[in-house]
Amino acid sequence: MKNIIVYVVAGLLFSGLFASADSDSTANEYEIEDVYPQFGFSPEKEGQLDDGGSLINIKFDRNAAPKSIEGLYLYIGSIKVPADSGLDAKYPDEVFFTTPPGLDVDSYGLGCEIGGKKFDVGSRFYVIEADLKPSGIAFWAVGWFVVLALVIWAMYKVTTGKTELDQKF
Amino acid sequence: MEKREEWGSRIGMILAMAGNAVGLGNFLRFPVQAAENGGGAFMIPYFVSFFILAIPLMWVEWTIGRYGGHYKHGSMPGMFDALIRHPAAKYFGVIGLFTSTTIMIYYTYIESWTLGFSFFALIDGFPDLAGVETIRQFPIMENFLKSYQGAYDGTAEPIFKSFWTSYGFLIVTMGLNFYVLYKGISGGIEKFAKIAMPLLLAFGIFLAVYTLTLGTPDPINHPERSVWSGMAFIWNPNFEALSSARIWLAAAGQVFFTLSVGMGTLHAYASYLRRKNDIALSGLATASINEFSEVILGGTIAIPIAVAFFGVVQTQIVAEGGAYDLGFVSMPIIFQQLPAGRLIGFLWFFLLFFAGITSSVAMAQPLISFLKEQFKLTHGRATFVIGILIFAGVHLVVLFYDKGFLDEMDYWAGTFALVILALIEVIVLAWIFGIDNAWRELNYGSDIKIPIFFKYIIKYVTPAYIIFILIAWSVQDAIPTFLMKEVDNPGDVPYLWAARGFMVLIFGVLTWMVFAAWKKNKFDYD
Repeated sequence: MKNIIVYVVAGLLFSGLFASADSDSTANEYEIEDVYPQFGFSPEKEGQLDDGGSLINIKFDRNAAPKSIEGLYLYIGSIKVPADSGLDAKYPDEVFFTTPPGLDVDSYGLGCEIGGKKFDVGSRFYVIEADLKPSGIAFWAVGWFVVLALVIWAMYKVTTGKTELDQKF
Repeated sequence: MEKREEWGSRIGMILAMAGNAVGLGNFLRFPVQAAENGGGAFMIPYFVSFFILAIPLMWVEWTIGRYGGHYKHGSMPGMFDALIRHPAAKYFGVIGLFTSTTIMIYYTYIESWTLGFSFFALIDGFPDLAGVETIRQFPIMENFLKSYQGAYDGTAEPIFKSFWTSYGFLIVTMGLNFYVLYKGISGGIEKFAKIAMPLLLAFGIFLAVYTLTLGTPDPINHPERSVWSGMAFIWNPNFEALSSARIWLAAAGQVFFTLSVGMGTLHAYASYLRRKNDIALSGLATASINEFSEVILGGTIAIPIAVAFFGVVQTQIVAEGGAYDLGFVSMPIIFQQLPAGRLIGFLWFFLLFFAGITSSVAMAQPLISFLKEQFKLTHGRATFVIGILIFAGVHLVVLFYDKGFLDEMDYWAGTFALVILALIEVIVLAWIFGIDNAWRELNYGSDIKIPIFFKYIIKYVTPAYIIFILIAWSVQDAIPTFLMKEVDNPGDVPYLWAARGFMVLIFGVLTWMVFAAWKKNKFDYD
């Protein structure tokens, strides 16, 4: 029993070592000001919709965009707007967003300027990177190891203990 | 009075105990919780909670159960009475009857969906989604599920015109449950567990291996969508999440539900052990089987397969919709795109059905034991009475499902009450019965030597952790939920109050039954 606990603690510490192998989290949120130069995004307000929403188009610089973009959300304040389309390709070069009815980015009142380089301070993109990272592999391995060690040890003890597994009570 | 039953063999008892613990939550709730709460980093609070909360609580429950069984008590009122021998003790045990009985009322309904969906998978009865754009497939399957549940929301033409189909599967599910229960502990539950649990594990291992072999299903159009991206979604750690109390609460909550602690069911099963039978190792063995089903099988099937077909974004949206959306909406869509999808779909839903029924039969056991022992009913009559009561109660859940009746019961009986009972039982055993007595009782007949520090964990850490959970939940969830501040549809409020009234009625009747039983019977513990 003590051995199992030692293995578990050691396993968790071991997996922690991998934390330094990658610094990104599964779901990274970036302020637009940070994202723009980093990934070469070029947001444009494409049009005004009848329901008061806005149609926003974002062009990517393929060379600067991160690999394996799986998700891209536009946050306007606390409102999360998923991409309409454009994420089908591994390296998308254009993504469209439609903001909810009545949410015109121009009139949102926070001074955002989608077509230019100033943005709403509360707005951010939400980029999900989908590659399995070293730390992910480490946690996966340790998680399985802990469970397998426990189940194998417990069933071994049950089958070899003084009360055997198939013993009739 | 009938002779008290006993388990037939150790393997049967361990499998039945594991069947009690392994439920829908292992395959649906766990992957959603992990993905939403920091991915791989979630496993740190998860395992911490497992070792300082779940395992100690499980040992507490096995100890109380075997001790109570020695005095011929198979339910918590009698067990508490035997432990602390105070006139008020038995009333604290009412909550153990309440949680298991109330949860069974709605759990069998959810369980019946899995039986129905396994049937639809086998006969190819799901809507034909071939050629339908992915984004349009979800509303179609949601409509299928909602109309099956009788929760038609008016947004599309319902596929099922009435709830008779789901009602039929509910009756079959109830019938199977009570047939197993009618056959008794060793002749019904144990025999069934010996068949169902190996099958469940075999189906689970097959589906997990199958999922891992899927790789990238559409490498031309969606090279980024793969099973490995799905594993990344679950396992890539977000260490920032560890600083959030919410993540620690979610992990504690998950281990609570997954091991079925705080329900009175483990006590009932353990009461059918002989005093000399080991509980320390058997308890650990059942917990380890549960963890295998959850972390290895549950974590490898639903989310990775969903990511491989829908991508991370859509899977995240599905996961945010909860475990039902993941299990009953997204999975049937995927099965239609898989080779041998009908068989795979059938195995998936039948796996869930086995997981469900091995848990639900355990939920009826405390009340069956109570009726037999305190009111001297025969086993058959006790099973029949409870079958009728559960069947009557489930009608409220079916009829008012779309009003949030089930969710309200799940919150108070299936979530909040579990934590309350866990706190009461650990205090009763470790503080009132006394930790030295409890430790001696736990180790009596043990096949392993439990490290001594668990004695102090049981006495100090586990209750402190539960109190922390209780306070945090009360502030974050319970108070706003009690005041119904987050009810989406104000029209549902009367139904939610009705659900609460129904639960108060159940609790009141059980309390009265305990009062009547102790008035009628005299117990000699010397």
